[in-house]
Amino acid sequence: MANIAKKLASFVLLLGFFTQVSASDLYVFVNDTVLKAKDGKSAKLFLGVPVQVKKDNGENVDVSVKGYLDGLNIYSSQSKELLIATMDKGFNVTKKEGAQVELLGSIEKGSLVDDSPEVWEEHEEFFFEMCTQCHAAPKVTHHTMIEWEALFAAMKGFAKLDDEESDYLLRYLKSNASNGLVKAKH
Amino acid sequence: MNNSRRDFLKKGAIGTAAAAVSGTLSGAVAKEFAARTEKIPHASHFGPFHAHVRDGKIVNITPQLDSDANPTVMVQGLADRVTTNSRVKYPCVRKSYLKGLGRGDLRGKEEFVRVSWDEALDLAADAIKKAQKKGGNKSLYNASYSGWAHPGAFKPNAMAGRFFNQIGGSVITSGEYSNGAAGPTNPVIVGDMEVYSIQTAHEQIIKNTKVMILWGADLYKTNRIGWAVPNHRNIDAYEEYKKAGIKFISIDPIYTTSASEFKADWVKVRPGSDVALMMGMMHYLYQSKKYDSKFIEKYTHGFDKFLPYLLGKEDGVEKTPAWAEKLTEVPAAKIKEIADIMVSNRTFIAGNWAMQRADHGEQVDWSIITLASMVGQIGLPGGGFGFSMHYAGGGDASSGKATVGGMSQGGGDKVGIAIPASRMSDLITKPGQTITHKGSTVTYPKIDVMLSAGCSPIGHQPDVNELVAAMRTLDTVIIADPWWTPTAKMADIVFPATNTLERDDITSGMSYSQDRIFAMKKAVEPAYESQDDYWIFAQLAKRFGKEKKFTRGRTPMQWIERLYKRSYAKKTMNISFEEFWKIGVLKYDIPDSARNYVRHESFRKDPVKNPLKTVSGKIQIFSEKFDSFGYDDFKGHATWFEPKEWLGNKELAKKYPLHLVSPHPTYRVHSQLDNTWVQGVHKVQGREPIRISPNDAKKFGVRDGEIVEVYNDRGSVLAGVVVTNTIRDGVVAIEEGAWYSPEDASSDKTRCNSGQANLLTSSRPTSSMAQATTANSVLVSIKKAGVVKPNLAYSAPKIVGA
Repeated sequence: MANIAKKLASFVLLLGFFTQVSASDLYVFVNDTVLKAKDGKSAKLFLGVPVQVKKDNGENVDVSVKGYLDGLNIYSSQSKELLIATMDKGFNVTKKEGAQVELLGSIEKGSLVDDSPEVWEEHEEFFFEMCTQCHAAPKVTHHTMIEWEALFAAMKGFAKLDDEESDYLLRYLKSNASNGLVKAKH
Repeated sequence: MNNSRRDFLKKGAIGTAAAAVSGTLSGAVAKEFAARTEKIPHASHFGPFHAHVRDGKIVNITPQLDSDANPTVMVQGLADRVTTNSRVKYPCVRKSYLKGLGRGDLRGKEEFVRVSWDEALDLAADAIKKAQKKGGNKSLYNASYSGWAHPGAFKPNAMAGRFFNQIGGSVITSGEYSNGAAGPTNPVIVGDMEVYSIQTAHEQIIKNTKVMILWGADLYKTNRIGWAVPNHRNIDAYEEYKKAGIKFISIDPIYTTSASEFKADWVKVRPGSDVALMMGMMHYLYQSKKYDSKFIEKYTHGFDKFLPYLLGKEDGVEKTPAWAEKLTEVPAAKIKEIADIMVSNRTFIAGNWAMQRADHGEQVDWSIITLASMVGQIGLPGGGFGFSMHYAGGGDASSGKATVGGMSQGGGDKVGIAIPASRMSDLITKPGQTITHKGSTVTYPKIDVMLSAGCSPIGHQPDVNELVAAMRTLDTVIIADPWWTPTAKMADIVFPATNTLERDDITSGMSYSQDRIFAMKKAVEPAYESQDDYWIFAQLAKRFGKEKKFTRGRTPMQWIERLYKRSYAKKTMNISFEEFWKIGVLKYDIPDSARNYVRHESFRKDPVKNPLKTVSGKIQIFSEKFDSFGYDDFKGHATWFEPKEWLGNKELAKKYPLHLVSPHPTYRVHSQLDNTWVQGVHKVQGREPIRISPNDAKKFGVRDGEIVEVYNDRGSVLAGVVVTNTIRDGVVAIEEGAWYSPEDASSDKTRCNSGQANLLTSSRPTSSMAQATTANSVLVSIKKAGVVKPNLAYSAPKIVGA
């Protein structure tokens, strides 16, 4: 009972802080955001990764990040199409259903936002700038991650992208794909 | 300045000789002529060139020989395009529209009235605002879908899209006419569109290929033009193909220029039956155990689900060579022979795009990929398949360095409706109808305003009569174009746009080599009252309070400089924009390593480490995703579907016994240049040629050089007969792109006086999946033309006040 009350209090606090948020859906706003586990080990989270807030600690929040493990890398799906986190050696993950794992730790609150599109504003502008010179913009959510890789392979030359720009744009496309990071919105 | 940069500039400086002058001029006159003539660098879809300008007029055009290895005659037509009488000289509005009477039914039938720019722009803005108020932005249709107008940065379609996005968007186009069927299929099958991807380098073909199958591909012809600026180095490479002793087999109803150049064996396939031919080969390879089972095992997914179909266990029809012979009219023995040749020699299958612009076009590339998998040479030097050897210098090695892009359309579209290319007429006439598309659905909204900039829907949309009737139901049609195209003549409001030679721009060459940046410098002042597309759409945006958002406060030259700044030349070679602009062309070296490029090589070497971008990481001979769509006309594996319209349709063929193909033109990019003197090179009595075999000419009683009427239920055209042995019996060819010219403009359905093939083509879609164009699935007949009137395709309409 005490636990329930405590959780409820945290939740109310969170609602106060992130006014429009469903507590389960906050997003990493700064690339390489550090997730610090209680034992001091760290993991770096990529831009746009959804995190579930467990507890608000003022400047920091305790969060859970779910994904699929391969060595020290965490992917968004079992097919390992999108890297969402890299971990320090020895970072302890919790096994969940199937092959899914959970990373628990604390994140600086300022690195999170409640609105996924806000995360991708700059990327989106770059996408429109690069990918509408010859044709109208396709809907990013209309393709899966692997389809975006396939389409991007043919199109990146036409957009005159260097390697860094290609990585930047492809991460946006895959993160926002129909099976990307923001599934609920599709 | 370091040495390498100095060397670069030395090599890169424009060095073509001064204009050659006629031998009839005296030396002194020639000198004076040359002195008063300025050579201005420019570039086009046909090649880079210098415009020779004297007294404000272009007096000659010469190719930039250091960037164009084998120039074509087409660049010569560009000067003519500046001064032609088909220019739109002033903003114009259709008479009844100007009076506020509407009368869309009179589009193309009544005269225009010259108006001021402000009046034209205000009228267009008012029409758009009225439509927005009535039906929202989904009642606006931006029909300017493609950027083929020119290779520069200010593509008219991008300008139009940018304008619409500033005001909340419009209905747009999904996919394309060129590769509408293969485009959405190939990425799921092989992890890449393939049709726009860099190809195995020429050097690897020359070194390794023993047999090249030209499956509909005409490498010589279609590489004459490019999306970027062509270098025509492919011609030199092909000379090496010849010397290397590569055996060529051309599977095509036409004995193409490439077949002729390469002295290919000609397999006269019946149009529309290529997939059956592929199935017959696959069946033979499987039954004879000559297929590469190891490749199938290691590199493909789902062969076991395709095999029952191939063997007839699914539908009771075994796809044997004998079965294929009946459909293709290629003897079973020949089918086996080609299959044997492929598996016993290093063989490259060069596919094309035209085959997939036909009923069930989705099946073509998929079948070639499946066949190539059974042959087992994908990823080996000189083997496998390629769907872009005929395009943009396919086989060119790449510099690997960034050139320049173009201005973008930006974001802002809130409409979210993209109709499949080929659905234009249905969109206009069938509001509320829902169609399937790529596993999803699209519902047509009610369209009130259609706008097209720098492209001509009455050029590329099949079934012109259907489209014209549809356009006559709209509230407003707005066109921005330098010329009175057939679409402009069907408009209410026409904005005169400048030609690229009348403004500054920037571009690159070419799509795969990426080794040139070209200045497209202004050569002459804009004709009459024409304005740049950039200005036109900025002015339109201004009427919605969005001018600054449209221009971001930049002049065109500031945009050009901004685009240049992203290039390797600026970022890495540190060549200033001013230096580049002064030189007019920059060149990048192509590393030798790029000449070793073999498509799919890394996948072949290590398919685990370098998987294809498909769900299985392998070639999807079977796709669970596609299978899940549940369509009757598109399955989970490559399938032979009988076309609706082909010579195998005995009933229809009784009425229309000739199959019409409409291949890419030899002397145009689609409809571009049709209004220039260059067309005189091939037109017959001012009409588009129709190629016909001697047997068919005799059968239909038509003579070489005669104008005939080609017709079917959808329409009829006048075309000039060319009797030739280079086309098989039962098939005729009219190259696409002639300008529609209604013989009797007052009539709703009249003959096209210039031979526009799309009067005859159908807007029937490929399938429930891609909904792409089927322009090559057409039956026609021919008869005597009777009395023929002058062809007015290239004349301006009657204009009051001009």
